[in-house]
Amino acid sequence: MMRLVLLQTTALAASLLLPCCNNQAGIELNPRTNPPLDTTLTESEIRIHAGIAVAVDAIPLSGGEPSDDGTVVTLTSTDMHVIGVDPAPAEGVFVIYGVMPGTADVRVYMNGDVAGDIPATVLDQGGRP
Amino acid sequence: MAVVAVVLAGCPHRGREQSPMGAFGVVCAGGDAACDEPGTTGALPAVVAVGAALQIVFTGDQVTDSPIRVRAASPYMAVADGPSLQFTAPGFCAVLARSEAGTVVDLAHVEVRPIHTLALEAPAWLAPGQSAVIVAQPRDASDQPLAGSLSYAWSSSDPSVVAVDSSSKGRRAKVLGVGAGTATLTVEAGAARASVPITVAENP
Repeated sequence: MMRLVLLQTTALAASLLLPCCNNQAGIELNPRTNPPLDTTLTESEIRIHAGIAVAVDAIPLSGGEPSDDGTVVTLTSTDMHVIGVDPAPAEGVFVIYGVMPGTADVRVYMNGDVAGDIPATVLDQGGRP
Repeated sequence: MAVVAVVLAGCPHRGREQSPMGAFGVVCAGGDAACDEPGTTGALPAVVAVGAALQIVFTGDQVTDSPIRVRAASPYMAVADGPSLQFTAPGFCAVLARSEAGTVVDLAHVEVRPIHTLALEAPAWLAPGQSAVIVAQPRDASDQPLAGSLSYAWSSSDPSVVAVDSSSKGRRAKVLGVGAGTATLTVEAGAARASVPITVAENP
């Protein structure tokens, strides 16, 4: 009985914790440019090499589908020394670029509110002497 | 806004990119193997030598309220050197046309490769008093010419046979046949070095 209560408590705690640990930011990142090295751009992970840049459309999702309800998406970097995120002149378009090898997050805002963080890893190109 | 979207949609390639609103270009500098007329503007080269500098400019219609400056995406790959970018590591380096307000209007990638050889175009012999211009060309491992402004150091193993004009700092050196004999002309650019023998004689 004690074990069952413990399991139920653990399951409840896990379900309560789930929203805080879910990295699904509710957006889709569609690249507009073709970077010369492999780059991963999803709502749950970004992997890019230092020195590489890619322009992306940040499209809000609703129920897993692209939403056109006027939601304004903004992306920023939690550490511009690792990964850069700058807006393009067109709404919803951003340029993401690797600055230095390391990890940081790309923070997603929906209509000015934080919607989530996308973990980002910036890789070394491996060519440094 | 829609037109600017075309700008970013139109830049998927590295080097020599053009967009309807503007384009990256390079101001030719002394010592650049990719151009011969300093001060002129040419296309952004696709492949640049490690250690070389390029003065990259972005020209085009005004697309933001603040001036556009060209910067490297990563100081890990290229550093600012006055108005130029010096490419410090092999690999790909994105250059961004960015307003002071932080808006990126265009991007391009430059590939940076190590200098594998310095090709020298030099005469086998000179007559005493005869001068010649020797040209060095940095090339990568696949013998492709590399662009970018580099610092060259020229020297002669025997200045009493072949003298190097003191103004020879770029990739072109002026040499003069002085006295009979054979001297080795050497040029260094970064870690690359090349030598060529030149014989000075009345008759070859």
